[in-house]
Amino acid sequence: MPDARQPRVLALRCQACRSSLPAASNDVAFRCPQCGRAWEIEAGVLRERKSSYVAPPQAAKHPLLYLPYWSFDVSARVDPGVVRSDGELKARDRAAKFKRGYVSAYAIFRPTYVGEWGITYMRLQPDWEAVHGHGPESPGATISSRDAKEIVRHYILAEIDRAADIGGLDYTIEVSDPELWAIPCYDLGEMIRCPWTRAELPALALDDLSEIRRGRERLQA
Amino acid sequence: MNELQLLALTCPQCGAPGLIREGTRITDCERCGARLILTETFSPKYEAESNLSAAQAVTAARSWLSKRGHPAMLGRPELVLIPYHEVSGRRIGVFERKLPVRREVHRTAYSPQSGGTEVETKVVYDEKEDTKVMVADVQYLTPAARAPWELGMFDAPSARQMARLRTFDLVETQRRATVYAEEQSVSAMAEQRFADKGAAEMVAVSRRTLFFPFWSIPMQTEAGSYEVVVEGISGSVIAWRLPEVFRASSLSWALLAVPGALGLGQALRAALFDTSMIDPVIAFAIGAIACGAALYRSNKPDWIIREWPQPDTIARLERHA
Repeated sequence: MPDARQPRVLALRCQACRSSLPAASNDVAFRCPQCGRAWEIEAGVLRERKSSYVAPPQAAKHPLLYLPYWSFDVSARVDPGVVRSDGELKARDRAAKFKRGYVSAYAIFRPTYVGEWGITYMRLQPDWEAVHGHGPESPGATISSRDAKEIVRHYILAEIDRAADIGGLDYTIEVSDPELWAIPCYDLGEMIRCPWTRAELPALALDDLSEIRRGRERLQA
Repeated sequence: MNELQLLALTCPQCGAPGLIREGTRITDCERCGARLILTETFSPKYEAESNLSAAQAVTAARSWLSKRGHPAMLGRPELVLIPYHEVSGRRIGVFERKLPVRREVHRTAYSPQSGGTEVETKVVYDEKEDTKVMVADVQYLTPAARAPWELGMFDAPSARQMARLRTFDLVETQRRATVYAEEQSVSAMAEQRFADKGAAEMVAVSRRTLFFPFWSIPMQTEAGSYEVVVEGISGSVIAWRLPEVFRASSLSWALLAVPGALGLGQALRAALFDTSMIDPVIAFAIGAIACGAALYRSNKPDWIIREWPQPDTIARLERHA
């Protein structure tokens, strides 16, 4: 019988293939490097999440770094009123555009200031093919899927609100179960670059980058 | 002083007892080798790596002192790590608000001067209901220990932005630095900060303790031993305590002694020979005051100790982003 004063401890092993899960200090969800399954700590136990990774652009010129994102199937619908204003029609079209939402799940310093690529990907709705199973090693997620779900819902609301005030709109937003995605970017040393948008993040803004890089080097060795 | 706290745990895989350092979340079971992780709310500790070596810190201090005209012998710098609690997260919510909308009202009125009508324009502000969706970053950085110097001039948010973080290891760190212990738990600070924020909800909350590096450099001057403190991230001087030398102070007593001697001399001359250029009472008074001032000045040191920043005079810099 464990001591009630003792901290609750979990063995970090993939429940499917039993291999050890790589983790950094703040991680709450992990991707198995062996079988590619994702596991999240929820109520003190590991629960499986859908897991995918995105193939890098074919002409990758720089070292790749895979970063974790929570990804959701989303369905947003705005019903314009009888008297349809331009704003309402714009909001309807904008809402219909969102098929998938993303929230960056790595530890980043002031994300909306230095750049939250989750919003960018949500606006772009890139035509990525999500690959399942064994793939690249990716760091764990530092944000829980529950929090990410709330954030993605507010991202969509904010996007609709940019077209028309949501106070007067009749809208519905559905967000599916979470999936942990590993999305590649270029590691340029001082900066991290998105291969698709060419947006850059200062490497210092990623808190656990040194641990992530160490993990990658270990794997390559 | 910081003490190493160890927490007892039991491996869920093999049942072996184990220990984990406070501030560490992941460890390996010594018996079965399983990687173990604490599942509960956790506040990891990080060290912000110093961008300056000891030699660079001394160079920064020397350059600062020479600009201020303070020659001093600088001693061996000491690395001091001061803990700061960082609580960050995202504030999300949907708010109702009222926006002012400017509207011009035109009115046609008869003008007796022109005999015709004129259009009068008046600006009216109406209130419009609006809903705002908020997704904002929140970050608080607060000192978690009392430093030996005032930390008011240390811009922690900027240093945080420039700092490279690494996992904090108390045992390793104490070999090369003086580490101050936290005086308040980061969870208590988070509760205090995030209490009563209205309709906003805090998500993705992260609590951590960051140890910022400072170089404390002792200086030997004519007036004694003092110190200058250089911040380890940007290399700027954030606090100092040193004597300020009075300019030409060593001659000031002599300058006062001259009128003193002349005044007393005139008074003595009047008393002995009954001849004086000025009123002997005035001469005596001037001489006595000037001699007294010269004696007082010659017994005082040629410097005063100045401290910067003065304790509790500068509001703490906290970032609420």
